[in-house]
Amino acid sequence: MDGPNFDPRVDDKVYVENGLFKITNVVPCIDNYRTTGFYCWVDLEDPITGFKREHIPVALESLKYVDDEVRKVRRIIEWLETSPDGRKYPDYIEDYEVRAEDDHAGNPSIYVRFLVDPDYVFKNGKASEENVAALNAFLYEVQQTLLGFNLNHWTYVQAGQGQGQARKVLDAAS
Amino acid sequence: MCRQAKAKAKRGRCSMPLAEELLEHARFLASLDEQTASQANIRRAISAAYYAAFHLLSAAVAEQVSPDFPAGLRESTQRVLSHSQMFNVAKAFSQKGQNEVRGLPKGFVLPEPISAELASISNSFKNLQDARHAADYDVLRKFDPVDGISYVQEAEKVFKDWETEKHSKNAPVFLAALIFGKDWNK
Repeated sequence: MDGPNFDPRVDDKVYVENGLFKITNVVPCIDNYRTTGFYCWVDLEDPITGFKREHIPVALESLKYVDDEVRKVRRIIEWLETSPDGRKYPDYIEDYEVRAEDDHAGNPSIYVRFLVDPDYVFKNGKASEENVAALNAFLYEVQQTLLGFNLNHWTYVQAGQGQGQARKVLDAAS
Repeated sequence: MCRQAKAKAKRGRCSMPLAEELLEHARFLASLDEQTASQANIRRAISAAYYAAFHLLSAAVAEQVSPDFPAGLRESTQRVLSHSQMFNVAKAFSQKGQNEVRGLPKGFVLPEPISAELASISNSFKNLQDARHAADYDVLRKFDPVDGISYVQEAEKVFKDWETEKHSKNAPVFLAALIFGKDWNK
């Protein structure tokens, strides 16, 4: 994959003529639609009334997404999960959260929080400096990647504690 | 280290050792509860980690813009620095490879592209300040030991990167921006 896939997807929410719709189908015109940036149509449905609008012709750039910046950041992380360009997505990352909110200074911001296996961070009850340094280097690289996409929000990339393999096994057994 | 700091303070030197002391304090707090989650210790560790980075950079600014004689002049200059101003400058310097940075004097271009170290320092400063606010004021937020350790080591990296970056051509511009940035284009 060359870069993140920002294509419309089923369940994405978009505004069309001031109404909010959910995409229920995406139909590309041609095989290499990603290089042309043009879609033939999408089918939409009003999530409240169920009203359907089908075969809406759409160019890639013209869809106005709900939470577009969060959607973009999620797609960028999905892309990073494929370990593109030789960049390894760490296996100690259990999950991630993406949320939009103002930072402490009131700047519209997006927070990405990677949940890390605590067994990776703590070895024999002590934090492993080497592993935490690797974790922080990964967070920094993600931050730099996000900055490269000229998002309209400030971005914060953080680490949080995941469940850990041992705890997962216990949970599964109980 | 504490004795050194006191001795230097008496002689009217800059408060760089305070930054190191705060970093050590942050390390100590973050290591108290590695597998439990004492909110007080983790929150204070994050706060101390931010202030360590803040004092490291603000002391470097004061050293650049003010002589240390008469005694107390440099320390008073350091007091002028504003957290919000430094936050905005850190954001502006957070992308590596950039030559043009918002907030510099009109038409001014950096002597060299932003290095990985300077971008890392700036990113970390911005992250740490935001985390410090959450740690000190957001009682809804729950911090875990990984938060504490990660932020403290981020502050440690600021110190390490600054050792390299302070000799760069961009360093004087970055430091000047931290104190004068908002007034350059008034």
